[in-house]
Amino acid sequence: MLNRQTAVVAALLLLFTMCSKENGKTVREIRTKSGIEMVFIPGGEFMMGGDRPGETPVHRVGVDSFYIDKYEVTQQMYRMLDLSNPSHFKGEKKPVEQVAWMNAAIYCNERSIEEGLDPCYDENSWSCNYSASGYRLPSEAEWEYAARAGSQGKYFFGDVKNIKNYAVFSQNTPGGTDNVGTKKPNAWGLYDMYGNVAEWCNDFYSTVYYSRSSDFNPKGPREGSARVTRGGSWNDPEAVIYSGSRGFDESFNDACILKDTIGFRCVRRADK
Amino acid sequence: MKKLLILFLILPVFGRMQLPADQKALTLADFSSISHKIVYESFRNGSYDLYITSADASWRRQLTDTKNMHEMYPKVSPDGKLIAFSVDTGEGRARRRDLYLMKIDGSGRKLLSRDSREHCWSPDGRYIAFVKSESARRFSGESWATKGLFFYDMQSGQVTEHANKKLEHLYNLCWSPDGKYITATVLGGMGFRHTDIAIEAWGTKYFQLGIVGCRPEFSPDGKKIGWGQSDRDFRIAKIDFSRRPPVSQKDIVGIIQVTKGYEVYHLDWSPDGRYIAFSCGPDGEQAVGGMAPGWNICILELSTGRWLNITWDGNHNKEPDWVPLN
Repeated sequence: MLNRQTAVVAALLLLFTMCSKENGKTVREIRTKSGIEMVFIPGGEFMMGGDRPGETPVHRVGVDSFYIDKYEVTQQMYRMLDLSNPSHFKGEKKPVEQVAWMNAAIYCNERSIEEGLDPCYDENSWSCNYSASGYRLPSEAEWEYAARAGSQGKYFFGDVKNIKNYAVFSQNTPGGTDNVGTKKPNAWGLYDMYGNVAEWCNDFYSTVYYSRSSDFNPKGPREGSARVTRGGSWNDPEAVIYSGSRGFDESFNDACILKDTIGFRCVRRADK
Repeated sequence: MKKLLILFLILPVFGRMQLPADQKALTLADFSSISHKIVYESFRNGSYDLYITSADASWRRQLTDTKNMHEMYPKVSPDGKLIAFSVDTGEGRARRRDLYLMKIDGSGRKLLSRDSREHCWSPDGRYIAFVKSESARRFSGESWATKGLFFYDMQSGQVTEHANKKLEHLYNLCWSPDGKYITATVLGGMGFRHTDIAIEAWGTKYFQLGIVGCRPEFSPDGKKIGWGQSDRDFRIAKIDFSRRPPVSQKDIVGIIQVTKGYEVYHLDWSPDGRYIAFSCGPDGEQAVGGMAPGWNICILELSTGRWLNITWDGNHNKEPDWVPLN
């Protein structure tokens, strides 16, 4: 465990490894003290949603700047924190899966503690403190904003015929998950936003939330029985792999219903 | 199996059931002839403690009474004289779960192994099998977050590891009455996604049972096995270790199902094989150490499918285990 003071200083000294300007936004990659690659996502607005039931209405949403993992959380990243790896498809560079929402939140807290940051999740209520300096799951809006990377169409890469180059899904899966980063990234340098594993978001799922959500930093319904998943997985058909596609799952903490199609990536606050 | 008339009942409301017209409702008096007692865990006054009750609920006694410690997951020795149980201490990520032993009257408490859980007795009572907590960094209440398979020898007091050192993520151990196998549920271990397996107790091999669900438990004669197909229903089936898998799909029978919003959890066969005890209640966190308000201990009569609560206070009553001998 890192000395807290040292860790805070270290966290402030994030190593900037690359900057680029994509779609009018300056994104930059960083490497955290733990050695995990993240991408700075500048705040902005976008049109959120799609044309299928549950994705409507398409509505304008603004989000603050934030950092997001460049890759889905891998089993190596789990091992670095000495956390039990529940994954079906084992491999250091493969995404962790069969992870309940609660355990994804625990990972976020442990990663925060490791880097001397303030954990976001209260492990009794599982409420999320968005003001905390530590890691958390992305809000659904943050996830879609990051996935779109400035694009406005159904796919961040343009024509659907190119999907096999950007996503591990049912038509090109090796029979499960693949190593993270084997496909092309989106314009902001994020890998596997489509496919490989569907990714937990912090929000509870509701089919009607879009018609009543806040237009800035929406955080989802106050309560619910399922959490949002995004991006589709190795086992999903092409039809559900696109930026506005919404999924949900009820495996909050029940080992009997965990799925080897669900993983996650982390975000953290970017100070203004 | 034919001797068992298993009724597949849909239970629309917790505590009530739809019975065939010619069956009268079950009452506690129907359990008064059962001489075997049941040990279980219950959360009162801020912590879990262990209790022992008669099957007809006419008699009950508290076995442990500790503050800031949680006694849970009781498993009674084959001779009915001892109880192996889990003790949780600490809070949050600093919590730990250790394996303890005491006499059936609650006296003579003794630590057997640190960071150890999901235990069961060998049929001859010489060994207690258990798994260890996997992460040294922080506590995990996840049943599957375990590493290895170990044996505590009641004669020598020594702990030895199973011959297969690659076992991981096992939970809910149950030793077959013939002593040859230990069954367990496994999640994300040994190449399995989530399944139930039998492990050679003294060898290195393991294989799938051929069932879907969690927490398999042997009948006392070892000829049948029962488990939770989901959080809402139990199944039982013949089990024959001379074939692979040992459970055939055609032999699987449903014995209880509750409607959405309610759950049943972790059955245990009575020593005479005529009943199963289990816990049931509204959707909750019923795994060991979890909070399950509204949950109670129930007994199901296998010949009729009728069942009844034997606790009513809803104090997170779970993990019933029959006392094998009177």
